[in-house]
Amino acid sequence: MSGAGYEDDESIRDDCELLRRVQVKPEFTVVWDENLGRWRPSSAAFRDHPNGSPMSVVLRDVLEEQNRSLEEVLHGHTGFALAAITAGFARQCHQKIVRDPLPEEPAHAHVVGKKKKASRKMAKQSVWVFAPDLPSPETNH
Amino acid sequence: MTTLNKLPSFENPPLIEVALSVQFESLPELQIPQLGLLWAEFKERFPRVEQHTPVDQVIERIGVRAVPQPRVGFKLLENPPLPRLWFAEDGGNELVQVQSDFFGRNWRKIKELEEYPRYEDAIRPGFVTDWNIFERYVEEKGLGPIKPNQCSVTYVNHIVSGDVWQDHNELGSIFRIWNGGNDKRIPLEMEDAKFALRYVISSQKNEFFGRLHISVEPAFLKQDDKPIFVLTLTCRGKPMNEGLDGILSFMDLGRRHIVDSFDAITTEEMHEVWRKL
Amino acid sequence: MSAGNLAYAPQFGPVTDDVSGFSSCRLRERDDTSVAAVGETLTYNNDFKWLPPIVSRLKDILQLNADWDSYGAHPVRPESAETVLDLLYNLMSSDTPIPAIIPTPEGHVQIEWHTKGIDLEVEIESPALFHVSYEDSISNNEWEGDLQYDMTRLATFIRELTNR
Repeated sequence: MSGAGYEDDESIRDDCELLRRVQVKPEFTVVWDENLGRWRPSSAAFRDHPNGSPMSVVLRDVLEEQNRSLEEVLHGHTGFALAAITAGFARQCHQKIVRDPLPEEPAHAHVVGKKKKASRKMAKQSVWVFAPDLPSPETNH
Repeated sequence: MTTLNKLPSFENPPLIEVALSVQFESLPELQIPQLGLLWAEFKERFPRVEQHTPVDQVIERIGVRAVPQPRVGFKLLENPPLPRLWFAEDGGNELVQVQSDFFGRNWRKIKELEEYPRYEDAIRPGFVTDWNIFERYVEEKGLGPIKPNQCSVTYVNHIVSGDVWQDHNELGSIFRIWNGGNDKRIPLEMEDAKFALRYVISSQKNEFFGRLHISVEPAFLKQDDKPIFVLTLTCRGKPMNEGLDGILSFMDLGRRHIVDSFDAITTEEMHEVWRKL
Repeated sequence: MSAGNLAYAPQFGPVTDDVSGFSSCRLRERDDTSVAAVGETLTYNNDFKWLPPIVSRLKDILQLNADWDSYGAHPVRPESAETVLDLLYNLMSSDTPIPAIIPTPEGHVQIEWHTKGIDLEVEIESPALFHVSYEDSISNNEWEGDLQYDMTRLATFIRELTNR
């Protein structure tokens, strides 16, 4: 997804958190990053939709404007944690942030741009909003 | 098409089977019903259908360390594996093999005095005809696209004992490259031997294409228990470019390496038996 | 068979046994005890200690249904899982850290190492196409690209990871 035809929405502030669900039980898209000393999402958790449409996120600013809780993002999604990157960081990864409100999710937005390198950077930079409850693995070497 | 002439040639080679095959990324929609309908395209020439265990995907790679056999196979067991189907002539020499990630075209020597029909005249054109039928079927039914990742050419020879050699310990009479085994420092009589060779096939720019595998194994003919050696030569590698042209380019090259190698590793005495031209 | 120092014998892969249209001969009988002995050694061979957790993980991710990530992900393609084993057989040694095996939304499988200052990710897009990304924060080396049949570069990365 190259981003052609999409305009970055500058009304979304750089410090606005972009929320992304991550499957953690079973731990399918989290990895133990020994270099960072913590569990974090895999780059696979920050990819475009396989049908070609851009990566979906929820804008935390919009949630808060609508007095909605962060937990709502995980409603109906058992076994998921919630990770966040800032809009500013996504832009540093050459992504455009585009509002795309949906009836079922008014805070929905797209993160548009090539994802190979960006997904790795976003995964490493992401922080947990709701962290997975996973033990540190034993060192295996 | 590459130049197919000027290769060593034999009037009576010990060839009993030639297989040309293409391996491709699995077509998940090519299931049993579709394979059955595909047979309708071949039925007139190949009226017999047989089911066989599927062949595994094999990809020639360079830069990896090979590991010893045996190794654990890994198959998804929730559904039964799709079979490999043979569409065969009734008692005849030719057959087509199909599975969801593989297509093969074989010629086999059935009767003793049958002549090898030659790669240029029959084997290659037969493959092209039947591959085109398969490809067209896949396209028309929306099952593709077909993405080949390997092609292979295999020649199987039965080198039968006779005037030049009688026992399995006489490899030196057949193979130029065999120079030992009956070393007097070992106070025992050698019974037999088998060996395998691998060669890398690269372009002039050193781009890896694939490998030539040669294997020699002692055996006996079922009909009369005569000692034979099974000499198998397989060239396997990636298509040289897109489409059927890329497949055929590799197959032509592979066949050239096979014929040259067969000539190079076997002795003059055996060449006389096979009537080298 | 002890781990580590032995050179592996070459694997002479399947030739016509798989594609042959018939067999009009019988091979000389082999001593099957040698095959059984190798198999038995394999079970207890430390060189393959990575195998059971990887196989278990692959079995788990192959069970995933469509939309497993809540964003429309595809189920994992079985040939991607098979290629993981094929690749690891050829590249892992007893000292190589066990990687993470991650399903991707496209139905591919990604092999990841994040250890010893190295981030190495191998996405298996098909049995003959891998997207590789390597970042070494200690040597400041990095590389990203597609590999098809020549695994030399990937083998170098894994050797670095193993030996550090």
